Amino acid sequence: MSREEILKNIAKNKPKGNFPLPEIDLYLTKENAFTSFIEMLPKISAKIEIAKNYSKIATLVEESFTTKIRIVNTVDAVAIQGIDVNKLKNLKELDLLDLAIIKGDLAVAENGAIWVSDKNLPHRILPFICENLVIIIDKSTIVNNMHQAYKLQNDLDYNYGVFIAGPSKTADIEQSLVVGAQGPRNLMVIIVDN
Amino acid sequence: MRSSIKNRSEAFLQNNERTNWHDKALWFVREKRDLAAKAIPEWEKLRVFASEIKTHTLANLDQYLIEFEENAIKNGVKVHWARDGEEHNQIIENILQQHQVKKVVKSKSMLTEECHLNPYLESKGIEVVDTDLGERIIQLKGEPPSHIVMPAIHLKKEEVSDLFHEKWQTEKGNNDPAYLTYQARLSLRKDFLTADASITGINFAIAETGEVVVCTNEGNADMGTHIVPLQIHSMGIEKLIPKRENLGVFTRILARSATGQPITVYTSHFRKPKPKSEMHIVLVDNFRSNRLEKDKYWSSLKCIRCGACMNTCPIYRRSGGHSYDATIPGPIGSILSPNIDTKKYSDLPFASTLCGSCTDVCPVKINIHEQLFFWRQDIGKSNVLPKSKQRAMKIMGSILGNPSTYKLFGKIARISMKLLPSFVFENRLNTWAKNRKMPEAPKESFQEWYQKRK
Repeated sequence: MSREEILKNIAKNKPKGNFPLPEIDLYLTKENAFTSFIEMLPKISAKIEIAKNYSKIATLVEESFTTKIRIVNTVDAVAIQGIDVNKLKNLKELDLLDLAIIKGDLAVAENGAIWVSDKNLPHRILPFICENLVIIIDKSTIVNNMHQAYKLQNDLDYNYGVFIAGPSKTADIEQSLVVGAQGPRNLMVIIVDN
Repeated sequence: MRSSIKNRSEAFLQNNERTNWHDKALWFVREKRDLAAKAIPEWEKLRVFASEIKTHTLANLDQYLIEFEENAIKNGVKVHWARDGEEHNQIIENILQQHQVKKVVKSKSMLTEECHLNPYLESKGIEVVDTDLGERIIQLKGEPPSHIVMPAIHLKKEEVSDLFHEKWQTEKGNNDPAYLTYQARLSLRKDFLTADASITGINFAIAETGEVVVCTNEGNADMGTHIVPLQIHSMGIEKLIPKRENLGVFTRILARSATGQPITVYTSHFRKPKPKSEMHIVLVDNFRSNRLEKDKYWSSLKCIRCGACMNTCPIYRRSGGHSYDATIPGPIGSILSPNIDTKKYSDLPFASTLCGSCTDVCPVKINIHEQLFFWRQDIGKSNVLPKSKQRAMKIMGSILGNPSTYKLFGKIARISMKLLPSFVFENRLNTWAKNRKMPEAPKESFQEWYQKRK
């Protein structure tokens, strides 16, 4: 059987010596994380809005996406009534969904990435199949770098999770940056600062 | 017989304008990488950590693979082991046949290129659609990728426009990358909605949790995987890292090294299958466990496939990826390929100036240029080089190896270059002088110069 054969070959051939796993000491302090985060977002083609509290979000979204009709809202604290995803017969019905509103667990200042997991998603496809995506985060969840992010996440239980850093993009044709490849064509990040 | 890299790059160099364009396009990416790296004060520390984590994992790879398998099974994932590319392809075919799959969407995977999965599945009547834009372009064109991160970097937008017009009846002569990307989006969206299964490569696998991590900018791996009821992830056994927290290091260096982005748009962590679905992981060896034994070469298994060594390489930039005629081109490909077939790829380690730029940018600190040099020595000894090259190297060796003959030949060369007409040196026998002039001969050797000033 290949499994035993491969494992036996590795045991025989693997480099001998003392190669310890390093201690990573790059968990920097959290100061300025908020400022760096909002500076980073435009660089990765994401839009930013800051809301004083959750009750302001519905108006903010309605003003920004005036022509959008089909919406899925997964954040209870936001007063927007959209499509009930539990009533969908087939996920493919979500194709050309105008807008999805989801919650992010934490955000990373150094690269603008936001952690979203299936704890907050009714379907994993939701943040990818929509044309426009809104991710809501709490200001207090912004961390400095990826080391901090993974350390915090160790307490999070998930089956699927993704860091999202901007709208989907590509530069596969002559290195020209085009926003809107196979996923959302716009990303708006709403930071709740209360 | 396989043509030599010299002949293939000569074809690429025929079009001077295009060569310059290719050179500049890649150098632009190299510069973006530099800016991204310099923005991180602890960059060099990250490279050391990344290298140490990979080295530690490779030195304990069997235990970590067992740990990974155990945790993946606990997560409800089916794990398979493939000794080589053929077994990998058969395993995937079996899974697909069991589910009566007719159409697969696939996101980027250099491993499936290495195993030649696409032609294999197509020969069994299964349609495979590559969903990364660059990969889709070259798939439609019937070409292999010329770069591991930017597969279609060798093509101009006019060629992409013509191709899309021919295949998808898009507007003729519309060369706007935004328009072309949108057309590809429309076409690929149909594929995502009609596929039966998804295959992805993976960037990292975590032993302590049994999860796999896939990085894309387009969102194509996720678009493909979350609709279909069957997802398969192919991974080389060297993609493993011990802990989740190790990802903190690798997610910081991968995209910065590859394209100069602070992180890829999507860094997806697949731990368990979604409801009513199956998730499979295929672990592939294909000569990797053999390479672990080679003292000089095992560290090439640390590679995280960022492509930084290609973007910086003066040979790659001016020869194009196809000149290497190997699954992975460029400096890293030239030290990986001879492990698989030393004779077939014996010319690749010689296609280098040994300038060392590849080693300088490598985020996991692989000594690429040194390994290129080691391969030259091993290949030279192994009798796989063409007879003419062996003879020439023997003659050069006897001249360079003996101080008095070296001095004598140096003197003859300096005098004759000065006295004889240029065509004696700049002719078709001297490949060095193709497309360039011989330098002016110095008046004296360094030794003569040094003696006078002692």
